[in-house]
Amino acid sequence: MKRRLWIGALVMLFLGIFMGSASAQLGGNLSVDDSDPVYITVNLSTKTMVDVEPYALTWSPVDPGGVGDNDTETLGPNYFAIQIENIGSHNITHVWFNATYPSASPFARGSAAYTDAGNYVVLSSNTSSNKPPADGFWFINRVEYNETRELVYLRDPDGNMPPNSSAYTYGRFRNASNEYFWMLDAVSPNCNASTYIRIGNESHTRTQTGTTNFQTGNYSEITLSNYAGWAVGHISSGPLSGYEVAVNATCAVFFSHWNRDLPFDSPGTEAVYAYNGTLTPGDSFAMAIKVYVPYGIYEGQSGQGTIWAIVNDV
Amino acid sequence: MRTAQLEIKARSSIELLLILLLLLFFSSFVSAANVTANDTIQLWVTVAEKTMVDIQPDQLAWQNVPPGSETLASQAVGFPKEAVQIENIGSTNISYIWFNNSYPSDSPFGSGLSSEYDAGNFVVVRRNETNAKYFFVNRVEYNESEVIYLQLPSPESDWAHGRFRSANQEWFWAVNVSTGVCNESEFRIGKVAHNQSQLGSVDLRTCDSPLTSTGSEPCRKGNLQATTLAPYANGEWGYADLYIGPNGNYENYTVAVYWNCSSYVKAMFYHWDMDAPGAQETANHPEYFSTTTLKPGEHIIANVKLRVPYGTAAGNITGALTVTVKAIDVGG
Repeated sequence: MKRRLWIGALVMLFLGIFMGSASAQLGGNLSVDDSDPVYITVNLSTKTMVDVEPYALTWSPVDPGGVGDNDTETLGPNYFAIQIENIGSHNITHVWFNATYPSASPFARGSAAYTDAGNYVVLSSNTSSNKPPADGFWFINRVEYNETRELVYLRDPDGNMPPNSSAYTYGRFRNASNEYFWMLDAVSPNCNASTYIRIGNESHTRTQTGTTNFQTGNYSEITLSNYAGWAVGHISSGPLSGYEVAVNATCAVFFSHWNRDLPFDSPGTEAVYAYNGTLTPGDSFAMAIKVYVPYGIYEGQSGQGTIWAIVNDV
Repeated sequence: MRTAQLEIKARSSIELLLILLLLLFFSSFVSAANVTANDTIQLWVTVAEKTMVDIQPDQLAWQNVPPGSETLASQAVGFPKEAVQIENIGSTNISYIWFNNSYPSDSPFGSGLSSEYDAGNFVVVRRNETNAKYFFVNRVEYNESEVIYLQLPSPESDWAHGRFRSANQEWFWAVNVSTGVCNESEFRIGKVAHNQSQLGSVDLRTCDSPLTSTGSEPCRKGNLQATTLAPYANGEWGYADLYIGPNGNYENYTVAVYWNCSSYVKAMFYHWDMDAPGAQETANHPEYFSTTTLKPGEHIIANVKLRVPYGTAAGNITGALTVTVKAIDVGG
């Protein structure tokens, strides 16, 4: 009896194993697909990088004393602004600009050799329209040189007309069709020792003379002080209010609004950062752009200029 | 009497000796029989049909990678090669292998936080073959805010735009979002990449059609096709095959755009992900990484790199690449 029970148990066990394997082959709960992950880690280095686009802009045609804007920009065509993007891996806190400028006065040359389109560039932070308004634009670091010819209709602070060129240096801030005469109380090679610059409040145009009397006329006087070998002043009144002015020894006069490099970074400077905050990686902002071409620029293609966006984190 | 006793003892000793000899004889006989004896037990096992895969190493890491670059082997840490080994550790033949990767749930650019990025979205994979090309598995991009130098069809307000970012190359794309439903929208993409020194194709107003054309215009355009199969049934996504790159040097991808584009656009560019929307429908560009039978115990190598876009925040960024395998003609 016991022997029969043992045989029966063994048969049942064998059948159980057999049925189990058959069930798997006929479609039990086997997995057909499987997956396995590999975990990826990357450590990004700290890189401060910036990209300014578009890479190039061209305005054509622009009349002397005219403005190149989105209507005359030909590469886009119709580019109206530049975009400054943080393409690095680090937060950017400040963005400012530099622009190229001619090494000597480009006027009365009879060629475009001394022109530099970088000196025409104006920027605005107002990008609310792809047809930017006329106002709100500032030069980056426009340079002006003293007049190469005597201007017979200007009067110096001592009352001399034409001005006494051994005591005073004079020139113009050229803002497209508007020109503002200025006068320094020093001459080359000591212009960086000037104590003031007087700037006419009324512009000179084709149809109006503007402020030419720097003795008793309608002008603003900006006090200049020595800073890093330059005579610098903060223009906080008059038509050029908002510019930082800096004069070197040989009387090159710089007007900066968007350039915060030395010597435009003196305490109380009127020059500003184009971006002052936290521009995170991948973020960007835009600046409207135009060119203000002065009167008296030789025809044809002006010298190619360059503007740079400079960034830092502090 | 004494003699008789001796005789009896002598006879007893002889008998005792004979008994001992007999015992020794039988003893050696028994011993010889044990040495030559043997027996066999039959062993058998039925291995269950299991499809299993192992991808090794478990972790890949790179360090000091600059934004806008592709990783180098010299930047790899821990494991010196930019590769993974996929091994069939199951019991069935593997017929198909493909990948998918993790990606961020919204645009990380401009967040300033490395935690918002996903390293899985940087992964490119190629077959371990000479001249093989790297492709993203399923890179996801989101639309971005105004790019002032990008030119879109009129009215521009009908279009959302973004970039397909591949290390230091970025291709601008745009999709018509005028209805808020994008599964059959028109999709456009520039041919020339944008980078730090090159504007690229930024005029998307006049394009060649379809998205796989090689005409003379600076961009390609085409309509997306709504998905119909589960798990993306009822047009959950729209997809289309496309070329990315110039006419003479483009790469095959499929783009899939999530249907709801009323608030933002989610676009997936995939090549190795056969689970992606459209991959199991009529899309022709997605590929299985391998369709060669991988027998149990066999392995295959995949080269892996990262393409880190410009504008990626510094610090540690993590993610995952997952390999998926399929065995066919297997019960269950």
